[in-house]
Amino acid sequence: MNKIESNSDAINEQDLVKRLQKGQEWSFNVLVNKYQDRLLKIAYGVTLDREESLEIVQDVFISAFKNIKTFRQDASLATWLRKITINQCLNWKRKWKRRFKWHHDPIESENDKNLFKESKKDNDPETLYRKKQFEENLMTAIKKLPEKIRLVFVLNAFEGLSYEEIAKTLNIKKGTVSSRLYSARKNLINSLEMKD
Amino acid sequence: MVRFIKIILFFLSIACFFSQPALAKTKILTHVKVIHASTGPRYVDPGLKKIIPELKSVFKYTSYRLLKDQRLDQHFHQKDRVNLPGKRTLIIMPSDMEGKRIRYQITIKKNKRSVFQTRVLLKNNSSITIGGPQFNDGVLLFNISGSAK
Amino acid sequence: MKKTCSRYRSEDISRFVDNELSQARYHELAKHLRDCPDCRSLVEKYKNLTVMFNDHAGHTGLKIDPAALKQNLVITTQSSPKKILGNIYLKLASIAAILIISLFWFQGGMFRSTGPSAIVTSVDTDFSSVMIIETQKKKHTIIWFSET
Repeated sequence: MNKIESNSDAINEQDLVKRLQKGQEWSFNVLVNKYQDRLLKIAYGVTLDREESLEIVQDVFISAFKNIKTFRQDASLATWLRKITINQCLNWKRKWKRRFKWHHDPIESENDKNLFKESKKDNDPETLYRKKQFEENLMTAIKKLPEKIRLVFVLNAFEGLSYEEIAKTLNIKKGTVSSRLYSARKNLINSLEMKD
Repeated sequence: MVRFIKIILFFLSIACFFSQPALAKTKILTHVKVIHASTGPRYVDPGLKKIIPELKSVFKYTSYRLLKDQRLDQHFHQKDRVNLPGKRTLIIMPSDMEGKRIRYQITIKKNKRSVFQTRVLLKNNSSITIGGPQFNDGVLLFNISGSAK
Repeated sequence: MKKTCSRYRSEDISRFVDNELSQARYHELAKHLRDCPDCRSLVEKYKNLTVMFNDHAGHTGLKIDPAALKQNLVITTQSSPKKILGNIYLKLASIAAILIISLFWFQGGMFRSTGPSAIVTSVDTDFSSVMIIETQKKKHTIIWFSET
């Protein structure tokens, strides 16, 4: 969840930013390895498309490296990268392309099913089946959430951001964050309970 | 400086005037490619290499097979037919030019009944893709290019 | 969705889960949960959504190879110096450029007009959905219709 960065993390980040600003190639490797999991998760949470999220995050890293000199360090590098990722996800051209591809891609739902990996803890077939079924139903319900509501849910669930932080990231009011998050939860639970 | 630009523009316009082809003698070379796109095993026909990047940026199909490659030597208002799979026919007719674009009328018939008709202004030496009726677990795409001579 | 008890609304529970209630209200609700199975159940449901979604998104198997990505990156270590041309050189360069462009245009060569590969002026069909698309890179026009 939302951790307070330790002093050593902050120093390492400063050092990384300095090296990126100098254009040192290996620092690009460090940047990608350090933040890709987190950004891919956010991008996937918003777009719900693996290929799309991979493309977006690759663009984010390239953009970040090219524009590192504009990074003022008034927020953390993670916060900056997160903002770029969200903006890219919401970019309308991608949205249009995504809608078109989704409509004409019969194999995408198959890909989603392949993502459900079995937990090693619950080996009982019935438990596994119920868990898998729940996850599938959850993802179906998440896909139906309006994007702006899903975005708030993603930032809360994946990044553990407070309402204040989410509000700042998305330039919306704190009250709006609260109501959108509640709306996401209400809709998801209603959808899941209807399938039961 | 302004006078200098005016002189240059004058000579440019002269060049444009002389570059327009005489309509009466214009021949249109129309090239129709019938493509079967599907989500089957990855395959791209060598004859489609030029347009595949554009199609792949829009479609998620993984296999693109060239079913038919037909070249038509046409004059304006000459209608030609291309037989398509699934009892379909493509009828194509260039009518005239508008600037550097060829005006085409394109009709797709199924069982002799017109199901789709469009009028386009195709940039010279460029192409348009129309699709896609369902066919054999995939769709048909028709890539039509035109060149005025 | 099953309602909470009459004392607390579902939205309060949602804010409780995120630790966004005032301290006093938070403790009040925490105490209430010990005796209220309905509210407790809702807390669990809300938390479970986060856990499951997190778990799913964390296993996409997506990975970026920094080395491969770097190949797409053009690294400029030095900014190109600005060249200032005198009026005479600018004029000469403009004349040369215009003459070359005119030459190619006259011969119907390299000069390409911008704009889509095809401008669609009319469409007539029985099909309910028709889309006209232009690709980003080469502005290739695609007309897509669905027979269903």
